[in-house]
Amino acid sequence: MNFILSIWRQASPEAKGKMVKYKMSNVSEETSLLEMLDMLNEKLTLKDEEPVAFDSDCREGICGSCSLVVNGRAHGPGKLTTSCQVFMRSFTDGQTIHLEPYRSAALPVIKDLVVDRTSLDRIIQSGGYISAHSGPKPEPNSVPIGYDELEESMDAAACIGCGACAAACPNGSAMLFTAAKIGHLGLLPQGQPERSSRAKAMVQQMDDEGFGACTNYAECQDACPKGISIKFIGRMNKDFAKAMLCDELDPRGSMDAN
Amino acid sequence: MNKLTQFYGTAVGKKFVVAVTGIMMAGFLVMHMIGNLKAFAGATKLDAYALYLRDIGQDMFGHETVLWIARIGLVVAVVAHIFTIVLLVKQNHKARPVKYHVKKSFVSTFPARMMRVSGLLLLIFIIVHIAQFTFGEWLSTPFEEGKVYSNISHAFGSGWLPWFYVFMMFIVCIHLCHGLWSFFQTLGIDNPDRNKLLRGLAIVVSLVLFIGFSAVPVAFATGLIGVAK
Ligand code: HEM
Ligand code: FES
Repeated sequence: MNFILSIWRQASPEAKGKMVKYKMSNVSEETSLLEMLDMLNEKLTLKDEEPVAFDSDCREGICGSCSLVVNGRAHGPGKLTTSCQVFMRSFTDGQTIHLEPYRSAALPVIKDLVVDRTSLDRIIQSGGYISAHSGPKPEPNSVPIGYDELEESMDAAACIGCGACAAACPNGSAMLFTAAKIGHLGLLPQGQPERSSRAKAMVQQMDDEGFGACTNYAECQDACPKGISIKFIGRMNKDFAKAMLCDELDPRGSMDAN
Repeated sequence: MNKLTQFYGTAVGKKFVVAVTGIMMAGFLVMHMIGNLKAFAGATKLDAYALYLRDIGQDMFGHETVLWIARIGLVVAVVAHIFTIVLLVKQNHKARPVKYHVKKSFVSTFPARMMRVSGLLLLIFIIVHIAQFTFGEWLSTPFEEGKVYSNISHAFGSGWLPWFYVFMMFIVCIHLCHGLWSFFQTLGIDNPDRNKLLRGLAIVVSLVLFIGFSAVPVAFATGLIGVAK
């Protein structure tokens, strides 16, 4: 198969980037999109040109490193898939394929197709944890968990933190990511002690990082390689509102008797 | 207060304000539409209804008190809704400083993508509408306070004004097709088990509002009802 690639090239975070066209010929349809980029980079290196920088690690759809916007779609054609799991058979021969980095103020481009996703890490650091004792391992069945809660929590835990939700959202919002993390821990008994503080801290951090707000377009859910539902966004909103409006500000304060 | 300002300081808090003020306005629209349909019962009934609005709760709170509370509540809702939207839209623009070369949407609905456009048109409509039927501006015939039926009959009897109203009611319908469902989603009331029901409810209520509101200008424009010219 033959393709014309139109790729975002940007030398550094400050540099002005532009779309650059490359021709690729004789690509087999079993080639993955990232393998084709490897082939392109080999060609570029042999010509003494700067190879295209892009992220990948596992190349089997589980790590969330790969982060391409392919022809206007985060992670490319198809549903429930990551960029590394896109194969050239999903395109037509001779097609122009546009490859762009994620676009969100909170996910700035480092180089070419690589974006800085530490903003997502900072959201997790702000509250995406539970307190567990570090002594001997507890008896696994000592904390009962309902089957439905467990499964629902696991649905949210499937989030690989790739950031495609923010890339797909017209508002550059990472609500699906944050909601998945809050939902994952908030549904489990181990996550209850920090449930309120977690919702408060993570929602605040998301804004501080410069992510947008939600307009309920549901583009994030469609782009999510793990099929995480926007119901978790509703759940996060509820948790957050409860933490902010219903929890006492000063539970240990004193009250006057006269 | 501290809690509230902190809450409003976040995107999620602002969304709550948009959703709650939105549903307040939508609730008002349902009442308003039911009231308007009194036009089909004739001049006496409609004018009496307009007087009745001023009398609600009169025995307990005094003349027009409840009406004014409702009016103030609505103005606050409209202002808070729009003010908050402006803040959110600003935040959203800042969050996507560089646009995609290939820009596509996959699942977002047309009404959802039109929220800002339909909302802006609604704002214009609200101003025109209040100027016309509350203050009597921009009408071709003299406006007589309290003579609701004859006022609207003259306004809608001919020309393009009734069709402007019908168009604007279509915009209301578009705004609420997404807005009403959005309310449930934003407040975390929606769930996979009731998603179809709530999506459907939003569309049905929006259509009922469109048809119910449009019926009055259409009936006057086509001469089905109205005062003799
Ligand atoms: C009759 C008047 C109006 C009603 C009944 C109404 C109702 C609603 C409702 C129920 C929502 C959904 C809230 C949510 O996201 O959960 C909404 C959202 C919205 N409204 Fe309105 N609205 C009205 C007027 C306006 C006006 C005048 C504007 C703009 C100037 C506006 C702009 C918007 C926008 C942009 C959204 C989307 C918010 C977002 O999620 O980002 N609306 N409206
Ligand atoms: S490289 Fe690991 S998910 Fe794509």
